[in-house]
Amino acid sequence: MSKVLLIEDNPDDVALTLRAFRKNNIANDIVVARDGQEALDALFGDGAFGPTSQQLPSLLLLDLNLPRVSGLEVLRRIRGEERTRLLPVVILTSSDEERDLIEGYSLGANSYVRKPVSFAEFAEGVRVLGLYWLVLNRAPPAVSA
Amino acid sequence: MSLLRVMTMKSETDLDAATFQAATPRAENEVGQSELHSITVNDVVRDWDVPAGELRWNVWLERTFGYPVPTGEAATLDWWLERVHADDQISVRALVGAVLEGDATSWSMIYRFRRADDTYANILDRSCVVRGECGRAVRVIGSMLDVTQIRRAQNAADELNRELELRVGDRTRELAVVVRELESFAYSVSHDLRTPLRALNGFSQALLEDHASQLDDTGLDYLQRISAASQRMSVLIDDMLRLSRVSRADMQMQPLDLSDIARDVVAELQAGDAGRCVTFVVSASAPGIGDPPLLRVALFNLLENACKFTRHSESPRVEFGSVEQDGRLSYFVADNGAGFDMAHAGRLFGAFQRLHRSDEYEGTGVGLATVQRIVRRHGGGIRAEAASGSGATFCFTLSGGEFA
Repeated sequence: MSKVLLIEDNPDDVALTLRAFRKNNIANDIVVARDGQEALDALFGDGAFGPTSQQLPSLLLLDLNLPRVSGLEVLRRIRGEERTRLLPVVILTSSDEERDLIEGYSLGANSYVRKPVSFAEFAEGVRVLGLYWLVLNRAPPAVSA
Repeated sequence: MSLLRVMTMKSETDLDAATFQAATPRAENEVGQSELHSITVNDVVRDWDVPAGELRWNVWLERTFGYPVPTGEAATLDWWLERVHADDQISVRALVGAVLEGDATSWSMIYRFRRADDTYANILDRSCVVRGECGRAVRVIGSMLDVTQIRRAQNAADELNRELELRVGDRTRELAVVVRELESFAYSVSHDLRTPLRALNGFSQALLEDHASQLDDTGLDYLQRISAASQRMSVLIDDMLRLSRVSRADMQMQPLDLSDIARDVVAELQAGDAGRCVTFVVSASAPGIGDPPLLRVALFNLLENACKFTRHSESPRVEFGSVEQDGRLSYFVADNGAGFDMAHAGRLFGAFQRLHRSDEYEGTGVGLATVQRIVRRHGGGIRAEAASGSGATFCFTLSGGEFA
Protein backbone atom coordinates (compact mmCIF):
# COMPACT_ATOMS: atom_id res chain seq x y z
CA MET A 1 0.00 0.00 0.00
CA SER A 2 1.17 3.46 -0.78
CA LYS A 3 2.76 5.49 1.96
CA VAL A 4 2.45 9.02 3.24
CA LEU A 5 5.40 11.13 4.33
CA LEU A 6 4.39 13.53 7.10
CA ILE A 7 6.92 16.30 7.68
CA GLU A 8 6.04 17.90 11.00
CA ASP A 9 8.21 18.97 13.92
CA ASN A 10 5.55 19.41 16.60
CA PRO A 11 4.93 16.09 18.41
CA ASP A 12 1.38 17.17 19.36
CA ASP A 13 0.56 17.85 15.73
CA VAL A 14 2.11 14.53 14.73
CA ALA A 15 -0.02 12.68 17.31
CA LEU A 16 -3.18 14.56 16.26
CA THR A 17 -2.56 13.95 12.56
CA LEU A 18 -1.96 10.23 13.14
CA ARG A 19 -5.13 10.12 15.24
CA ALA A 20 -7.09 11.88 12.51
CA PHE A 21 -5.88 9.28 9.98
CA ARG A 22 -6.86 6.49 12.40
CA LYS A 23 -10.27 8.05 13.07
CA ASN A 24 -10.95 8.12 9.35
CA ASN A 25 -9.79 4.53 8.83
CA ILE A 26 -7.01 5.57 6.51
CA ALA A 27 -4.68 2.63 6.82
CA ASN A 28 -1.77 3.83 4.70
CA ASP A 29 1.64 3.73 6.37
CA ILE A 30 2.67 7.14 7.60
CA VAL A 31 6.38 7.89 7.81
CA VAL A 32 7.18 10.90 9.98
CA ALA A 33 10.10 13.27 9.45
CA ARG A 34 10.62 15.59 12.42
CA ASP A 35 12.32 18.42 10.55
CA GLY A 36 13.35 19.51 7.08
CA GLN A 37 16.69 17.71 7.23
CA GLU A 38 15.06 14.43 8.20
CA ALA A 39 12.70 14.86 5.28
CA LEU A 40 15.63 15.39 2.88
CA ASP A 41 17.41 12.35 4.35
CA ALA A 42 14.25 10.28 3.90
CA LEU A 43 13.88 11.30 0.26
CA PHE A 44 17.45 11.74 -0.96
CA GLY A 45 19.60 9.89 1.59
CA ASP A 46 19.35 6.31 2.72
CA GLY A 47 15.96 6.84 4.39
CA ALA A 48 12.60 5.17 3.71
CA PHE A 49 12.22 6.76 0.27
CA GLY A 50 15.87 7.16 -0.70
CA PRO A 51 17.15 6.27 -4.20
CA THR A 52 18.02 2.72 -3.13
CA SER A 53 14.59 2.05 -1.61
CA GLN A 54 12.86 1.88 -5.01
CA GLN A 55 9.79 3.61 -3.62
CA LEU A 56 8.33 7.06 -3.08
CA PRO A 57 5.43 8.20 -0.92
CA SER A 58 2.19 8.78 -2.82
CA LEU A 59 1.56 11.88 -0.73
CA LEU A 60 3.72 14.34 1.14
CA LEU A 61 2.20 16.41 3.94
CA LEU A 62 4.54 19.34 4.53
CA ASP A 63 4.62 21.79 7.42
CA LEU A 64 6.35 25.08 6.60
CA ASN A 65 7.84 26.23 9.86
CA LEU A 66 10.46 23.55 10.47
CA PRO A 67 13.75 23.48 12.35
CA ARG A 68 17.02 23.18 10.41
CA VAL A 69 15.76 23.09 6.80
CA SER A 70 12.52 25.01 6.22
CA GLY A 71 9.46 23.50 4.59
CA LEU A 72 9.76 25.76 1.55
CA GLU A 73 13.39 24.71 1.10
CA VAL A 74 12.37 21.03 1.28
CA LEU A 75 9.77 21.76 -1.43
CA ARG A 76 12.37 23.53 -3.58
CA ARG A 77 14.69 20.49 -3.34
CA ILE A 78 11.86 18.06 -4.14
CA ARG A 79 10.88 20.01 -7.26
CA GLY A 80 14.53 20.32 -8.29
CA GLU A 81 15.21 16.56 -8.38
CA GLU A 82 14.12 14.52 -11.38
CA ARG A 83 13.06 11.56 -9.23
CA THR A 84 10.80 13.55 -6.92
CA ARG A 85 9.70 16.53 -8.97
CA LEU A 86 6.19 15.14 -9.65
CA LEU A 87 5.50 14.05 -6.05
CA PRO A 88 2.10 15.30 -4.82
CA VAL A 89 2.90 17.77 -2.04
CA VAL A 90 0.23 19.21 0.23
CA ILE A 91 1.34 22.05 2.46
CA LEU A 92 -0.30 21.53 5.84
CA THR A 93 0.44 24.48 8.08
CA SER A 94 -0.83 26.91 10.71
CA SER A 95 0.12 29.87 8.58
CA ASP A 96 -2.29 31.59 6.27
CA GLU A 97 0.12 34.42 5.51
CA GLU A 98 -0.25 35.47 1.92
CA ARG A 99 3.48 35.29 1.25
CA ASP A 100 3.57 31.62 2.38
CA LEU A 101 0.67 30.83 0.08
CA ILE A 102 2.29 32.58 -2.86
CA GLU A 103 5.70 31.08 -2.27
CA GLY A 104 4.29 27.62 -1.61
CA TYR A 105 2.39 27.60 -4.89
CA SER A 106 5.28 29.26 -6.78
CA LEU A 107 7.56 26.44 -5.69
CA GLY A 108 5.05 23.90 -7.04
CA ALA A 109 2.91 22.83 -4.10
CA ASN A 110 -0.14 20.86 -5.27
CA SER A 111 -2.36 22.09 -2.48
CA TYR A 112 -2.27 24.36 0.56
CA VAL A 113 -4.31 23.49 3.63
CA ARG A 114 -4.42 25.51 6.80
CA LYS A 115 -4.66 23.39 9.94
CA PRO A 116 -7.75 24.48 11.86
CA VAL A 117 -7.65 24.71 15.64
CA SER A 118 -10.77 22.61 16.06
CA PHE A 119 -9.90 18.91 16.01
CA ALA A 120 -13.30 18.05 14.54
CA GLU A 121 -12.57 20.31 11.57
CA PHE A 122 -8.99 19.04 11.33
CA ALA A 123 -10.15 15.39 11.32
CA GLU A 124 -12.65 16.20 8.59
CA GLY A 125 -9.90 17.94 6.59
CA VAL A 126 -7.65 14.89 6.90
CA ARG A 127 -10.51 12.63 5.80
CA VAL A 128 -11.07 14.74 2.68
CA LEU A 129 -7.32 14.92 1.98
CA GLY A 130 -6.93 11.16 2.35
CA LEU A 131 -9.95 10.44 0.18
CA TYR A 132 -8.79 12.81 -2.52
CA TRP A 133 -5.04 12.23 -2.66
CA LEU A 134 -4.89 8.53 -1.75
CA VAL A 135 -8.06 7.24 -3.39
CA LEU A 136 -9.44 9.57 -6.06
CA ASN A 137 -6.26 11.18 -7.32
CA ARG A 138 -4.12 9.26 -9.83
CA ALA A 139 -0.49 9.69 -8.86
CA PRO A 140 2.10 10.41 -11.56
CA PRO A 141 3.61 7.18 -13.05
CA ALA A 142 7.09 7.53 -11.62
CA VAL A 143 5.61 7.92 -8.17
CA SER A 144 3.22 4.98 -8.29
CA ALA A 145 6.04 2.66 -9.41
CA MET B 1 32.35 72.01 -7.28
CA SER B 2 33.74 74.97 -9.10
CA LEU B 3 32.27 78.29 -8.14
CA LEU B 4 32.24 79.34 -11.71
CA ARG B 5 29.10 78.50 -13.53
CA VAL B 6 28.26 79.44 -17.05
CA MET B 7 24.62 79.86 -17.78
CA THR B 8 22.80 79.92 -21.05
CA MET B 9 23.69 82.95 -23.04
CA LYS B 10 20.20 83.59 -24.30
CA SER B 11 17.14 84.82 -22.40
CA GLU B 12 17.44 87.66 -19.92
CA THR B 13 20.97 88.80 -20.67
CA ASP B 14 20.08 89.11 -24.33
CA LEU B 15 17.30 91.38 -23.26
CA ASP B 16 19.82 93.41 -21.24
CA ALA B 17 21.96 93.77 -24.34
CA ALA B 18 19.01 95.00 -26.37
CA THR B 19 17.95 97.45 -23.68
CA PHE B 20 21.48 98.75 -23.37
CA GLN B 21 21.87 99.20 -27.10
CA ALA B 22 18.62 101.13 -27.19
CA ALA B 23 19.84 103.37 -24.37
CA THR B 24 23.19 104.04 -26.03
CA PRO B 25 22.58 105.07 -29.62
CA ARG B 26 24.43 103.00 -32.22
CA ALA B 27 27.00 101.50 -29.86
CA GLU B 28 29.01 104.62 -29.40
CA ASN B 29 32.48 103.89 -28.07
CA GLU B 30 32.33 106.93 -25.84
CA VAL B 31 30.32 106.78 -22.68
CA GLY B 32 30.82 109.15 -19.77
CA GLN B 33 31.41 108.14 -16.16
CA SER B 34 28.14 109.81 -15.16
CA GLU B 35 26.29 107.77 -17.77
CA LEU B 36 27.66 104.57 -16.23
CA HIS B 37 26.35 105.69 -12.86
CA SER B 38 22.94 106.28 -14.24
CA ILE B 39 22.67 102.75 -15.67
CA THR B 40 22.36 101.17 -12.31
CA VAL B 41 21.50 101.94 -8.73
CA ASN B 42 23.93 99.92 -6.67
CA ASP B 43 25.65 97.27 -8.84
CA VAL B 44 29.27 97.44 -9.75
CA VAL B 45 29.27 98.29 -13.45
CA ARG B 46 32.21 97.57 -15.70
CA ASP B 47 32.60 99.00 -19.18
CA TRP B 48 35.30 97.41 -21.29
CA ASP B 49 36.37 99.28 -24.38
CA VAL B 50 37.80 96.35 -26.27
CA PRO B 51 39.85 98.09 -29.02
CA ALA B 52 41.33 100.54 -26.49
CA GLY B 53 41.93 97.84 -23.92
CA GLU B 54 40.41 100.06 -21.29
CA LEU B 55 38.18 99.00 -18.42
CA ARG B 56 36.13 101.61 -16.64
CA TRP B 57 34.18 101.14 -13.43
CA ASN B 58 31.41 102.99 -11.62
CA VAL B 59 31.71 104.18 -8.02
CA TRP B 60 30.13 101.00 -6.65
CA LEU B 61 33.45 99.25 -7.19
CA GLU B 62 34.83 101.10 -4.20
CA ARG B 63 31.71 100.77 -2.08
CA THR B 64 31.41 97.05 -2.77
CA PHE B 65 35.02 95.82 -2.84
CA GLY B 66 36.95 98.66 -1.20
CA TYR B 67 39.17 99.55 -4.19
CA PRO B 68 39.62 103.11 -5.38
CA VAL B 69 38.28 103.16 -8.95
CA PRO B 70 41.29 102.58 -11.25
CA THR B 71 41.74 105.26 -13.82
CA GLY B 72 44.03 105.96 -16.74
CA GLU B 73 46.70 103.34 -17.39
CA ALA B 74 45.68 101.28 -14.37
CA ALA B 75 42.19 100.68 -15.75
CA THR B 76 43.05 97.53 -17.71
CA LEU B 77 41.50 94.12 -18.35
CA ASP B 78 44.26 92.60 -16.24
CA TRP B 79 43.31 94.72 -13.23
CA TRP B 80 40.02 92.88 -13.18
CA LEU B 81 41.31 89.42 -14.08
CA GLU B 82 44.14 89.55 -11.51
CA ARG B 83 41.54 89.82 -8.76
CA VAL B 84 39.65 86.71 -9.87
CA HIS B 85 40.31 83.78 -7.51
CA ALA B 86 43.18 81.55 -8.64
CA ASP B 87 40.86 78.53 -8.89
CA ASP B 88 38.47 80.43 -11.19
CA GLN B 89 41.14 82.03 -13.38
CA ILE B 90 41.18 79.45 -16.15
CA SER B 91 37.41 79.34 -16.48
CA VAL B 92 36.92 83.10 -16.46
CA ARG B 93 39.73 83.73 -18.94
CA ALA B 94 38.45 80.96 -21.18
CA LEU B 95 34.98 82.45 -21.19
CA VAL B 96 36.23 85.97 -21.86
CA GLY B 97 38.38 84.64 -24.71
CA ALA B 98 35.47 82.69 -26.14
CA VAL B 99 33.19 85.73 -26.08
CA LEU B 100 35.76 87.82 -27.85
CA GLU B 101 36.52 85.27 -30.52
CA GLY B 102 33.07 83.72 -30.83
CA ASP B 103 29.71 85.32 -31.47
CA ALA B 104 28.02 85.16 -28.06
CA THR B 105 26.13 88.34 -27.23
CA SER B 106 26.36 88.01 -23.47
CA TRP B 107 27.72 86.06 -20.56
CA SER B 108 26.57 85.20 -17.10
CA MET B 109 28.91 83.57 -14.66
CA ILE B 110 29.64 83.14 -11.00
CA TYR B 111 33.20 83.38 -9.68
CA ARG B 112 35.17 84.53 -6.66
CA PHE B 113 36.58 88.08 -6.71
CA ARG B 114 39.16 89.43 -4.27
CA ARG B 115 38.15 92.40 -2.13
CA ALA B 116 40.62 95.09 -1.06
CA ASP B 117 40.88 93.41 2.34
CA ASP B 118 42.00 90.15 0.62
CA THR B 119 38.77 88.32 1.37
CA TYR B 120 36.80 86.89 -1.56
CA ALA B 121 33.29 87.74 -2.65
CA ASN B 122 31.08 85.47 -4.73
CA ILE B 123 30.17 87.42 -7.82
CA LEU B 124 27.38 87.05 -10.30
CA ASP B 125 28.83 88.67 -13.41
CA ARG B 126 26.42 89.44 -16.25
CA SER B 127 27.71 91.20 -19.29
CA CYS B 128 26.59 91.97 -22.78
CA VAL B 129 28.83 92.23 -25.80
CA VAL B 130 28.42 95.05 -28.28
CA ARG B 131 29.66 94.05 -31.70
CA GLY B 132 30.77 96.38 -34.42
CA GLU B 133 31.63 95.74 -38.06
CA CYS B 134 32.25 92.12 -39.05
CA GLY B 135 30.81 91.12 -35.68
CA ARG B 136 33.91 92.08 -33.75
CA ALA B 137 33.40 92.79 -30.07
CA VAL B 138 33.90 96.47 -29.41
CA ARG B 139 32.47 96.86 -25.94
CA VAL B 140 31.61 94.54 -23.13
CA ILE B 141 29.40 96.14 -20.55
CA GLY B 142 28.48 94.25 -17.45
CA SER B 143 27.57 94.30 -13.83
CA MET B 144 29.08 92.45 -10.89
CA LEU B 145 26.62 91.56 -8.17
CA ASP B 146 27.95 90.42 -4.81
CA VAL B 147 25.99 87.22 -4.10
CA THR B 148 28.12 86.10 -1.14
CA GLN B 149 25.24 86.49 1.33
CA ILE B 150 22.78 84.82 -0.99
CA ARG B 151 25.18 81.95 -1.57
CA ARG B 152 25.83 81.65 2.14
CA ALA B 153 22.10 81.49 2.80
CA GLN B 154 21.71 79.04 -0.04
CA ASN B 155 24.51 76.87 1.29
CA ALA B 156 22.93 76.93 4.73
CA ALA B 157 19.58 75.98 3.20
CA ASP B 158 21.27 73.21 1.18
CA GLU B 159 22.96 71.99 4.34
CA LEU B 160 19.65 72.00 6.22
CA ASN B 161 17.99 70.17 3.38
CA ARG B 162 20.72 67.55 3.34
CA GLU B 163 20.37 67.15 7.09
CA LEU B 164 16.61 66.89 6.79
CA GLU B 165 16.91 64.29 4.07
CA LEU B 166 19.32 62.31 6.23
CA ARG B 167 16.90 62.49 9.14
CA VAL B 168 13.93 61.49 6.99
CA GLY B 169 16.03 58.61 5.66
CA ASP B 170 16.88 57.54 9.22
CA ARG B 171 13.25 57.68 10.29
CA THR B 172 12.12 55.80 7.20
CA ARG B 173 14.65 53.07 7.91
CA GLU B 174 13.57 52.92 11.57
CA LEU B 175 9.95 52.71 10.48
CA ALA B 176 10.75 49.97 7.99
CA VAL B 177 12.39 47.99 10.80
CA VAL B 178 9.31 48.45 13.00
CA VAL B 179 7.03 47.36 10.15
CA ARG B 180 9.18 44.28 9.55
CA GLU B 181 9.08 43.48 13.27
CA LEU B 182 5.32 43.91 13.25
CA GLU B 183 5.04 41.58 10.29
CA SER B 184 7.19 38.92 11.85
CA PHE B 185 5.20 39.32 15.08
CA ALA B 186 1.94 38.83 13.19
CA TYR B 187 3.51 35.86 11.41
CA SER B 188 4.58 34.16 14.61
CA VAL B 189 1.21 34.89 16.21
CA SER B 190 -0.45 33.27 13.25
CA HIS B 191 1.84 30.29 13.30
CA ASP B 192 3.09 29.68 16.81
CA LEU B 193 0.09 30.54 18.96
CA ARG B 194 -2.27 28.34 17.01
CA THR B 195 -0.15 25.21 17.40
CA PRO B 196 -0.58 24.82 21.19
CA LEU B 197 -4.25 25.75 20.79
CA ARG B 198 -4.68 22.93 18.34
CA ALA B 199 -3.12 20.56 20.88
CA LEU B 200 -5.48 21.81 23.63
CA ASN B 201 -8.50 21.37 21.43
CA GLY B 202 -7.33 18.14 19.81
CA PHE B 203 -6.44 16.28 22.98
CA SER B 204 -9.53 17.39 24.92
CA GLN B 205 -11.50 16.12 21.95
CA ALA B 206 -9.52 12.87 22.06
CA LEU B 207 -10.32 12.51 25.75
CA LEU B 208 -14.00 13.11 25.06
CA GLU B 209 -14.06 10.57 22.27
CA ASP B 210 -11.81 7.83 23.62
CA HIS B 211 -12.06 8.12 27.41
CA ALA B 212 -15.52 9.53 28.03
CA SER B 213 -16.52 6.47 30.06
CA GLN B 214 -13.85 7.28 32.68
CA LEU B 215 -15.21 10.79 33.27
CA ASP B 216 -18.32 11.97 35.10
CA ASP B 217 -20.55 14.76 33.79
CA THR B 218 -18.54 17.50 35.51
CA GLY B 219 -15.33 16.17 33.97
CA LEU B 220 -16.94 16.08 30.54
CA ASP B 221 -18.24 19.63 31.03
CA TYR B 222 -14.73 20.83 31.92
CA LEU B 223 -13.31 19.22 28.82
CA GLN B 224 -15.98 20.84 26.68
CA ARG B 225 -15.11 24.20 28.21
CA ILE B 226 -11.40 23.72 27.39
CA SER B 227 -12.33 22.83 23.84
CA ALA B 228 -14.66 25.82 23.45
CA ALA B 229 -12.15 28.22 25.00
CA SER B 230 -9.39 27.10 22.65
CA GLN B 231 -11.67 27.68 19.67
CA ARG B 232 -12.65 31.09 20.97
CA MET B 233 -9.00 32.03 21.34
CA SER B 234 -8.38 30.87 17.81
CA VAL B 235 -11.12 33.24 16.59
CA LEU B 236 -9.54 36.05 18.65
CA ILE B 237 -6.14 35.43 17.09
CA ASP B 238 -7.62 35.41 13.60
CA ASP B 239 -9.52 38.65 14.24
CA MET B 240 -6.40 40.28 15.67
CA LEU B 241 -4.44 39.26 12.58
CA ARG B 242 -7.16 40.62 10.32
CA LEU B 243 -6.99 43.91 12.21
CA SER B 244 -3.21 44.09 11.81
CA ARG B 245 -3.52 43.22 8.12
CA VAL B 246 -5.93 46.09 7.60
CA SER B 247 -3.20 48.42 8.90
CA ARG B 248 -0.48 46.85 6.76
CA ALA B 249 -2.38 46.34 3.49
CA ASP B 250 -1.28 48.33 0.45
CA MET B 251 -4.02 50.66 -0.71
CA GLN B 252 -4.92 51.27 -4.35
CA MET B 253 -7.32 54.16 -4.45
CA GLN B 254 -9.84 54.31 -7.27
CA PRO B 255 -13.28 55.75 -7.98
CA LEU B 256 -15.95 53.24 -7.03
CA ASP B 257 -19.57 52.85 -6.02
CA LEU B 258 -19.99 51.80 -2.40
CA SER B 259 -23.54 50.70 -3.16
CA ASP B 260 -22.15 48.04 -5.51
CA ILE B 261 -19.90 46.77 -2.73
CA ALA B 262 -22.80 46.88 -0.24
CA ARG B 263 -25.03 44.87 -2.61
CA ASP B 264 -22.25 42.29 -2.98
CA VAL B 265 -21.87 42.01 0.80
CA VAL B 266 -25.66 41.79 1.27
CA ALA B 267 -25.79 38.89 -1.20
CA GLU B 268 -23.14 37.09 0.84
CA LEU B 269 -24.96 37.77 4.12
CA GLN B 270 -28.27 36.60 2.66
CA ALA B 271 -26.63 33.36 1.57
CA GLY B 272 -25.54 32.72 5.16
CA ASP B 273 -27.54 32.60 8.38
CA ALA B 274 -26.78 36.16 9.45
CA GLY B 275 -28.83 38.01 6.83
CA ARG B 276 -31.56 35.51 6.14
CA CYS B 277 -34.66 37.30 7.48
CA VAL B 278 -33.35 40.85 7.22
CA THR B 279 -34.86 43.39 4.83
CA PHE B 280 -31.96 45.21 3.16
CA VAL B 281 -32.32 48.63 1.58
CA VAL B 282 -29.30 49.72 -0.44
CA SER B 283 -29.29 53.12 -2.17
CA ALA B 284 -28.98 53.07 -5.95
CA SER B 285 -25.58 54.69 -5.95
CA ALA B 286 -23.03 55.96 -3.43
CA PRO B 287 -19.92 57.12 -5.29
CA GLY B 288 -16.57 57.47 -3.55
CA ILE B 289 -12.82 57.02 -3.90
CA GLY B 290 -11.10 54.24 -2.02
CA ASP B 291 -9.45 50.85 -1.92
CA PRO B 292 -12.04 48.24 -2.98
CA PRO B 293 -10.89 45.25 -0.85
CA LEU B 294 -10.53 47.35 2.31
CA LEU B 295 -13.90 49.05 1.82
CA ARG B 296 -15.48 45.66 1.32
CA VAL B 297 -14.06 44.56 4.67
CA ALA B 298 -15.44 47.75 6.29
CA LEU B 299 -18.92 47.36 4.79
CA PHE B 300 -18.96 43.66 5.57
CA ASN B 301 -18.23 44.35 9.23
CA LEU B 302 -20.84 47.12 9.48
CA LEU B 303 -23.58 45.21 7.65
CA GLU B 304 -22.86 41.93 9.45
CA ASN B 305 -22.97 43.82 12.77
CA ALA B 306 -26.29 45.37 11.80
CA CYS B 307 -27.70 41.91 11.00
CA LYS B 308 -26.40 40.55 14.28
CA PHE B 309 -28.00 43.25 16.39
CA THR B 310 -31.35 43.10 14.59
CA ARG B 311 -31.63 39.39 15.36
CA HIS B 312 -34.32 39.98 17.97
CA SER B 313 -36.13 42.76 16.10
CA GLU B 314 -39.68 42.10 14.95
CA SER B 315 -39.05 43.04 11.31
CA PRO B 316 -35.29 43.46 11.00
CA ARG B 317 -34.27 46.16 8.55
CA VAL B 318 -30.77 47.28 7.54
CA GLU B 319 -30.14 50.25 5.29
CA PHE B 320 -27.06 51.50 3.43
CA GLY B 321 -26.82 54.86 1.69
CA SER B 322 -25.04 58.17 1.46
CA VAL B 323 -25.92 61.69 2.56
CA GLU B 324 -24.36 65.09 2.04
CA GLN B 325 -23.34 66.30 5.49
CA ASP B 326 -21.33 69.41 6.44
CA GLY B 327 -20.38 69.80 2.81
CA ARG B 328 -18.95 66.30 2.42
CA LEU B 329 -20.41 62.98 1.38
CA SER B 330 -20.89 60.54 4.22
CA TYR B 331 -22.07 56.96 4.06
CA PHE B 332 -24.29 55.27 6.61
CA VAL B 333 -25.37 51.83 7.75
CA ALA B 334 -28.54 52.00 9.83
CA ASP B 335 -30.45 49.25 11.59
CA ASN B 336 -33.51 48.92 13.80
CA GLY B 337 -31.81 46.50 16.19
CA ALA B 338 -30.70 46.47 19.79
CA GLY B 339 -28.73 49.72 19.58
CA PHE B 340 -26.62 50.72 22.58
CA ASP B 341 -26.43 53.35 25.27
CA MET B 342 -24.60 56.42 23.89
CA ALA B 343 -22.91 56.73 27.28
CA HIS B 344 -20.61 53.89 26.19
CA ALA B 345 -20.07 55.18 22.64
CA GLY B 346 -16.46 56.11 23.45
CA ARG B 347 -15.52 52.44 23.78
CA LEU B 348 -17.26 51.42 20.59
CA PHE B 349 -14.26 51.51 18.26
CA GLY B 350 -11.61 50.15 20.66
CA ALA B 351 -10.21 46.72 19.79
CA PHE B 352 -11.68 43.91 21.92
CA GLN B 353 -14.23 46.32 23.43
CA ARG B 354 -17.76 45.01 23.57
CA LEU B 355 -20.99 46.68 24.64
CA HIS B 356 -23.01 43.46 24.85
CA ARG B 357 -22.42 40.23 26.75
CA SER B 358 -21.14 37.46 24.52
CA ASP B 359 -24.04 35.20 25.47
CA GLU B 360 -26.39 37.88 24.03
CA TYR B 361 -24.47 38.72 20.88
CA GLU B 362 -21.32 36.79 19.95
CA GLY B 363 -18.19 38.53 18.71
CA THR B 364 -14.64 39.47 19.64
CA GLY B 365 -14.99 43.25 19.55
CA VAL B 366 -12.63 43.67 16.62
CA GLY B 367 -15.11 44.46 13.83
CA LEU B 368 -15.69 48.15 14.54
CA ALA B 369 -12.03 48.71 15.38
CA THR B 370 -11.24 47.30 11.94
CA VAL B 371 -13.82 49.57 10.29
CA GLN B 372 -12.37 52.61 12.04
CA ARG B 373 -8.85 51.76 10.92
CA ILE B 374 -9.97 51.36 7.33
CA VAL B 375 -11.89 54.65 7.38
CA ARG B 376 -8.93 56.46 8.95
CA ARG B 377 -6.50 55.03 6.40
CA HIS B 378 -8.73 56.59 3.76
CA GLY B 379 -8.46 59.92 5.57
CA GLY B 380 -12.04 59.89 6.83
CA GLY B 381 -13.85 59.50 10.11
CA ILE B 382 -16.62 57.43 11.66
CA ARG B 383 -19.26 58.03 14.31
CA ALA B 384 -22.26 56.20 15.69
CA GLU B 385 -25.67 57.32 16.84
CA ALA B 386 -27.92 55.04 18.80
CA ALA B 387 -30.26 54.59 21.67
CA SER B 388 -30.68 51.42 23.66
CA GLY B 389 -33.40 49.33 22.03
CA SER B 390 -34.03 51.56 19.04
CA GLY B 391 -31.36 50.77 16.50
CA ALA B 392 -27.97 52.18 15.60
CA THR B 393 -26.63 54.25 12.72
CA PHE B 394 -22.96 54.28 11.73
CA CYS B 395 -21.82 57.19 9.59
CA PHE B 396 -18.43 57.36 7.91
CA THR B 397 -16.55 59.47 5.38
CA LEU B 398 -13.57 58.71 3.16
CA SER B 399 -11.95 62.14 3.39
CA GLY B 400 -11.84 65.25 5.51
CA GLY B 401 -10.71 63.59 8.75
CA GLU B 402 -12.67 62.84 11.91
CA PHE B 403 -16.18 64.14 12.46
CA ALA B 404 -16.23 67.34 14.50
